[in-house]
Amino acid sequence: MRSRSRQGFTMVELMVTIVVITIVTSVIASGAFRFMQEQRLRQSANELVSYLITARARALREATDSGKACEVELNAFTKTVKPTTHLYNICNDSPSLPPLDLLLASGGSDLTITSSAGSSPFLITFTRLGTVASTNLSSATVVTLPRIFYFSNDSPGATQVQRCVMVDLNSVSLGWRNTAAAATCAYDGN
Amino acid sequence: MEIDALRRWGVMKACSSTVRTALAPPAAQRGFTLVELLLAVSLGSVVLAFLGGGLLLSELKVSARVQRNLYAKDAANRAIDLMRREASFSRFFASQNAVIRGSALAECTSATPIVYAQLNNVYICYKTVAPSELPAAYQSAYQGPCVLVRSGPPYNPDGTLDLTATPIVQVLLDGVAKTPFAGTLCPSTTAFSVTSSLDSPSIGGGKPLTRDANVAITLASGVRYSFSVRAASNPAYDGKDLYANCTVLSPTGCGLAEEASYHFKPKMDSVAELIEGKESRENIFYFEHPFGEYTLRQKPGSGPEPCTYANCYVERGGFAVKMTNVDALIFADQEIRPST
Repeated sequence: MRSRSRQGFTMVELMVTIVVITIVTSVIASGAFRFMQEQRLRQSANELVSYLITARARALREATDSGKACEVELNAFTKTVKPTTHLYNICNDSPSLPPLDLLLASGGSDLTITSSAGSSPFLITFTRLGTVASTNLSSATVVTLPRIFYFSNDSPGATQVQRCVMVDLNSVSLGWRNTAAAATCAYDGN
Repeated sequence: MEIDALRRWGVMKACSSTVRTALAPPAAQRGFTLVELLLAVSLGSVVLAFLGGGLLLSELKVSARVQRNLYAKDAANRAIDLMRREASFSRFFASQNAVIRGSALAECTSATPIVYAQLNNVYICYKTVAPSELPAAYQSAYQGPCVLVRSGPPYNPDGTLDLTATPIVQVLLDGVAKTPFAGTLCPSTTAFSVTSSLDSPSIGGGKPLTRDANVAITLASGVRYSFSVRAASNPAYDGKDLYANCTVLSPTGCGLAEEASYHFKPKMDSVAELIEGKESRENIFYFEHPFGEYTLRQKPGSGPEPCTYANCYVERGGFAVKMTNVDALIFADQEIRPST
């Protein structure tokens, strides 16, 4: 008879170990997946904030001619933001502000952009003072401020965390909300 | 070697357990068992994870706070820049209730600390409010404890003010005031204060005219900004030459119809001259001699009561003029604003 100290693991022990490892791994993987999804959303919203700040800087710097402004349009369907082709759009003058693909920028595959008001494409016009105009170059519709854009991920089992981009008279801010817990966004500042 | 030899010869089997124990390494030379090692490693990992996690978290918190402060400073700088720009293209600078009487804009009340006047009787004013005082849809977008709001005409895309549009209230800066005020309101006193020479001691019953004011804003982080704003020179204040030939009196004065100010040059050739300013405009009265040559009082025959916004009576050399709604008196050497 072989001594007890030289026995291997039983099948049951092995199975239990494998199951435990599987559970732990899947929990960690799902957390990591969710984390990555949130980071993609954050990245995407951050790209929009950077784009708008660049547009504002350009309006401040270059739209000194009377009548000029920097107008950009955010398309919720194509998930892109680019300058409009309006004649008085300083951001469309050469070299024009390059268009930005928010989906590509985030590296994600599913991104939904909604807004607190209006319908896509959303127009944002920065004046030569760096303020957001109450009407746009391409549209006489009055813009109500602040305007909030929500970035969410709608794939099955997706996170309920949304990113918010708030455009106000004099500021562009990045925030977030958990739609399961809060209806409003919390902003870090700016 | 010796133990192996004993084993080979079968001696070990024959030996008692006492002998085996004696042959085993002494306790001091035994290593850790696997269980002990695993336990130590896992305990060590837990401790390290806690320490490392704590350090990482605190580092992240510090980084987030630094970022927030940077954002806040950037936003404050842009707000200050806009206030200065708006002042610079304003026609004149008002404070308290000296010249905003008759304003249709409810937000620009006598309690508003700073008001810039544009053309066509349109005003831009700033004050602090609590987020709860904003429209319900946007209250939660701001953190407070107070926000600096701008009330005035909206901007056209070309950066000009839309003077024909209804004035609107918009948030200029969030995170004003270090600590919340008692209650929910944010009085525009401590976190956002404005001082100008309108608040300085009186001259001849009035205050000196000014185009400058000092503004101080305290952010939620405790950072305090102090800066000065200067309204564009109202040509009316320097209009002694411009309006030298002005003889047209009330009701339109000498100014152009679209100007924020009305200009009057009393003839000073009788004792019965009466000029009534218009409530919705800044009424400016010009006198060609130095301030010291005139006597100012409220009404003819009255005592030494100083001339006021509502009633001002100015005498010189046996001639006099009675004026109402007096915002500014421009003498050859002195400019004053009568008390309200």
